[in-house]
Amino acid sequence: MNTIKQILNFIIKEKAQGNTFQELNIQMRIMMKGINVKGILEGKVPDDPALSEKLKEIAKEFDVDLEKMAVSI
Amino acid sequence: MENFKVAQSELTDSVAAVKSIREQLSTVDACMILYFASPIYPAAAISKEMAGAFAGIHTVGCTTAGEMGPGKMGQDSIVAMAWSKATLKDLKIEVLENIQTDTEAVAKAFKSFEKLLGKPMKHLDPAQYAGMVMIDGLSGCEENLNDRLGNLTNVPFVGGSAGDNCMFRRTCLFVDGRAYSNAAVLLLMEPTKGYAILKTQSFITTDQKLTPTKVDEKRRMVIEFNGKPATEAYANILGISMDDLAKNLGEYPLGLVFDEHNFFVRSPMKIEGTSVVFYCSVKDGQELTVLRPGDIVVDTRNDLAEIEQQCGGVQAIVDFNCCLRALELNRKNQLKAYSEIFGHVPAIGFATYGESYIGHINQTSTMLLLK
Repeated sequence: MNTIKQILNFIIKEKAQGNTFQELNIQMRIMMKGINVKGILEGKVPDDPALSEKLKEIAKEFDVDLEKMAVSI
Repeated sequence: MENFKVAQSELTDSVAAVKSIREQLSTVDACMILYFASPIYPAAAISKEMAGAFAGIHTVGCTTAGEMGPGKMGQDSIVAMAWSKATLKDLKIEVLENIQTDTEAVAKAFKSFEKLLGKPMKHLDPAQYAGMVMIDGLSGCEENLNDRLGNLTNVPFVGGSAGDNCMFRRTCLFVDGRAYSNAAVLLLMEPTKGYAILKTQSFITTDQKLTPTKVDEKRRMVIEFNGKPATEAYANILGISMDDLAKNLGEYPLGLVFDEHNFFVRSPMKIEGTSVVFYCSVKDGQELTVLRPGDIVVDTRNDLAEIEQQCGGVQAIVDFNCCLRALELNRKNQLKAYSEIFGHVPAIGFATYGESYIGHINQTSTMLLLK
């Protein structure tokens, strides 16, 4: 799994707070922000520093602490 | 005692219209009157009249590009829904002012909600709480506002942008006797018996794609698709002439597609030079899909029946119906057929300048269904 997919998965899970029904809505919200969510989750989008930064910005907007991701991997 | 009751008046005098609405709704012990009013009524006057007629009850609404009342759709009327005290365990209302300049407007409103609720919006249960949002339809702030709502909570906020009969001069929100522009209103509700949301649109996706490669996002403008002048690429992929595109632009919306069942319509508004302006913003590099139209009445009826069955029936519906759909229904002489879809349940709605659900969207009916 590449880094951007790991980050995106983490953001979705954290924002959904364990509610799997919410995960789809959150994926669509992230798509609205200009991210190719489907492509990333299907592993079709290669790692890209600019995209990683954009995902980190989204994590911040969602109040998702990516520091916790390092522990959970 | 009725839980929800709807009323409509086509009287053109605002005092007389409100008096009629008051009489029609007199049997309900209401906590809120939600209403949608034509811009033919002076905004400040109608808001004041409604608050005066329903003293002690929240009165909330907006101007429209058409109203849907009990079994009837049209323009130049006021429609209202009384929500009895039994329908909501909790209701909180916040007005967001100066939304064009105040980037913290949503955060401030949420702080106020949190103070009243005693818990963070971030942790509210979306199964328990529902949000409604109405926005000045000429503010151009819908994308940012919806984005902020989704950033700060998982509670869904559904709603629409206020209209003004497609005059594009001034749209207003009404809250407890005051009228606002450059504003939005948020309703945070805890429906007693739960709720559901339906977003329906009458399009099917195709395999034809257009990717904006140069945009002016703030102006909702695509300057280039696929590296070519936007109008040229748009006409080419549709297989029509540039003249035909210009004449019938509204017939060729695009979709931001998540999957076959979940997509968001981006409706073109006008051509400026070789650029295309949309009713909601599109992002650079975000692939869009050409959509083919379906039948609004058939699709809405089917989608509503399906969700009502899933819910085991609903008590009331608030319908935020895009003004472009209302225009199409009018053109096809289907306004009556559309309103009859809602004939079995108290329902009101209005023709919007865009709907709110997950983001700012076009050419949908986005509905809040109260169980």
